[in-house]
Amino acid sequence: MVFRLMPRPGKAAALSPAGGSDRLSVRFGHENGLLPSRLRSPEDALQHSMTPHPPQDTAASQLAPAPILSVSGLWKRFSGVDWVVRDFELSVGEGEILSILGPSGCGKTTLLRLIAGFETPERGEIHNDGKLISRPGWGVPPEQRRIGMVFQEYTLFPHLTVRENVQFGLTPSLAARVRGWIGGKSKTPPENGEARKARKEGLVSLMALCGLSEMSDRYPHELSGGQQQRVALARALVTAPRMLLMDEPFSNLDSGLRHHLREEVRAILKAAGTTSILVTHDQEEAINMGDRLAVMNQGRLEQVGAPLEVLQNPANRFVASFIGGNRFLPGRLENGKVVTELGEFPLPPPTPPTLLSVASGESNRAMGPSATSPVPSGGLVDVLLRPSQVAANPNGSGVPSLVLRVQYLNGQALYTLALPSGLEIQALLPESTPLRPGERTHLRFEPSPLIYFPSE
Amino acid sequence: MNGRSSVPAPDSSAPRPPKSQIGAQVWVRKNLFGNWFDTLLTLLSLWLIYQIVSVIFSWAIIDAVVGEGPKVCEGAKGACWAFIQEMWELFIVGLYPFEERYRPYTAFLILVLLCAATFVARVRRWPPFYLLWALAPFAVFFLIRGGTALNLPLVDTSLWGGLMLTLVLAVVSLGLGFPLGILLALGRRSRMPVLRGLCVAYIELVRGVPLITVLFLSSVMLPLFLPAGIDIDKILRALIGITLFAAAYLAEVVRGGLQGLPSGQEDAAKALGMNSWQTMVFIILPQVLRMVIPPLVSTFIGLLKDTSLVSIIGLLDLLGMAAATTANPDWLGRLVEAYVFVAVIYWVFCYSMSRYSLFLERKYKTGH
Repeated sequence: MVFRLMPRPGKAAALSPAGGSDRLSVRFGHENGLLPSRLRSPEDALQHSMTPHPPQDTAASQLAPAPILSVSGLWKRFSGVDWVVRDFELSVGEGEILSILGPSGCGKTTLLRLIAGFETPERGEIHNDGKLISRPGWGVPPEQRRIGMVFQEYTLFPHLTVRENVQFGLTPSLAARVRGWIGGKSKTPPENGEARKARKEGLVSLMALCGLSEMSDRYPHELSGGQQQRVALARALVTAPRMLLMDEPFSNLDSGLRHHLREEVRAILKAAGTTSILVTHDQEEAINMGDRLAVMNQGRLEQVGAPLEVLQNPANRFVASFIGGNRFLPGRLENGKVVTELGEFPLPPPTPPTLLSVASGESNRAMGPSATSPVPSGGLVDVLLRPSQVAANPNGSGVPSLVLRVQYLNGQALYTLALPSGLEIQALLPESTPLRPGERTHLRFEPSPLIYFPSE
Repeated sequence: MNGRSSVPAPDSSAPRPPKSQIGAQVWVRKNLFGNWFDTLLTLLSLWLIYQIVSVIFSWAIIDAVVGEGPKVCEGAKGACWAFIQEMWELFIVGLYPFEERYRPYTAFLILVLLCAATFVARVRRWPPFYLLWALAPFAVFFLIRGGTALNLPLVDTSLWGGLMLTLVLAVVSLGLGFPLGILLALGRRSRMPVLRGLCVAYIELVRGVPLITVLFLSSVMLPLFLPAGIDIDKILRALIGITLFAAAYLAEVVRGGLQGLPSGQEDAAKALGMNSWQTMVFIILPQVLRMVIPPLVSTFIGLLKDTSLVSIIGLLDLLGMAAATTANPDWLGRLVEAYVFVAVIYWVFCYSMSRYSLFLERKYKTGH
């Protein structure tokens, strides 16, 4: 489906490519969006680039447009003692879609509300488009930030129909109306017939895209949860915001619609060049929707990078265990090898940390596999065990094990097996695997690369 | 209103439950005479109802006297409706000059027609119609008051009275007090401490004082503060008093609604780039006012009846007229008839408002 957002004449600037010398200097200052945002000046960037880091791989460089939003050293707490957001550092590039993934209660929603301007931080700053928009005790009002938001609980306007809800963002201000009536000078050129028609068509196609055409005259209380969520999405998209924050926008949709809408929304956002932040606890959604993926836990940023990078190269234990349903296999370091119950594996050659895999700021607790290992020989480690890296071999060689349970997902079978020591591990095997619970098999673990963390 | 599905008509050939389980007879037996205690209560209630209704019935209808002049009522056992027959216009328009009475009636007719037209959806969608509503108060005022510019004899406000005065007081004070109340409610929630403090002080002060006191203050104290020679009209003084009083009560009603509105609604509007006024006018107030329809109408009804207190400061409103007419030497002691008549008029207005509020509640039931 071809869809183009039709901004109001006054909002045309939002979609035009960023220009001006101001922006250029910012771009220079952050030659990629992954640098810690406190590197503000070109000198900083230069100094940073002289440090002995390997060159960014090309994919990562492409993923790093000029940052438009930067969050630095952000701390937030409500009346309690616990910090909801702790020392958060993040920058989002122009036109980029960033997914923030984290368990529920980790401060994702609060972070979005801070960016949208509904909360002010206790410490730290938020810059948007080079301008300070939030600091302790002060903030640009949310309505002036040009940041749209899709709320988790939809917050549709119950007294307006679906169409009125979606159109609401286009309501002209009273001042604009009065200017229109008295025919005075308007900041925006008067909308001619063609523009009005284009806007109407844009609205119609947006409604159609979100599957709302047939319910445009209904009220929110007459819709299902999924339908309400679609209205919320359409309502936020209609104003063509500079930046869009989405708080679990697809959580209430059935899976078919979710996939469809996810792709469509991504296409819309990309076409309009809308910088977006998507908050979710659904890994699949976070990985597929975002250009970059940030993992958050207990108010901290644990890791940020390209989704595959984060998936394959977790920076720390939390990220490793949170993404991909991974488990850990206890082992011991001996003579450059890791000895585990599933075999001995040579240590990978040490590689310096890439910028992609390391979270910025003091919150960086990365103890990545590629970092120089602080574990002495003979020390205990936990090896990351991905279900997909375990293969079963009923008759052949390998470690004997007992099938405990099996779960069928998307054409694959997730087996839970017990090793001789009693340790339970998981293996992702083809659906056609003839193993049944109670049967015995042999397992082989094929890590590539081997990832381990010091044992806790 | 929408989304209403049509229920298929019941099939007439389908078997019906046996006669012994349906019908009025069964209902009565089941609900009124179910056991000996129910039967006792039912009989007792019927006896009480009979006693009360029969007294009222014989007083108001069987023994009532209808006719002309005070003579017909001599020795009457029941109500003397001849009194109402002769005096009813005084109850409606007060001491308004006899030959000019067509003017308030015309004004009343204009308002009734406007109200009736408002109920027609097609008329409501025609924007110039609201201009008529905006002009109506001025038209009514000048029609009733008159003046040389209109080539109508001037009728001084001291001659205004009866139901006309009651309606003028109620409609104007509610019409002005309501927006003022909304502003006060918003002020009370304001982030500016001075504004908030002033609003809280005003609301609590006014709510802590009886309306009679406010009326006394406005009619007795206010002239003392004004420079000599400036005399504010008595009705205007009462109007100001009731308006300010109504505003404080309505502010609290509206505030209740504001507190009941989820804060996400405001956030959602802000996230769409709407400024505070747009958020207030298009999102918050429409929802809040719908939510507070029941307490709002209760307050309206209370204030309509409270306007009767103006008789204390010498205005002859509907209730004041009852006292004034029964002071007529010819009709001395016809208080019961007068008060019953006045009560019926009040009841008609209050009951209509209450029905209308129920209608609005159903119409706007879109929930959260």
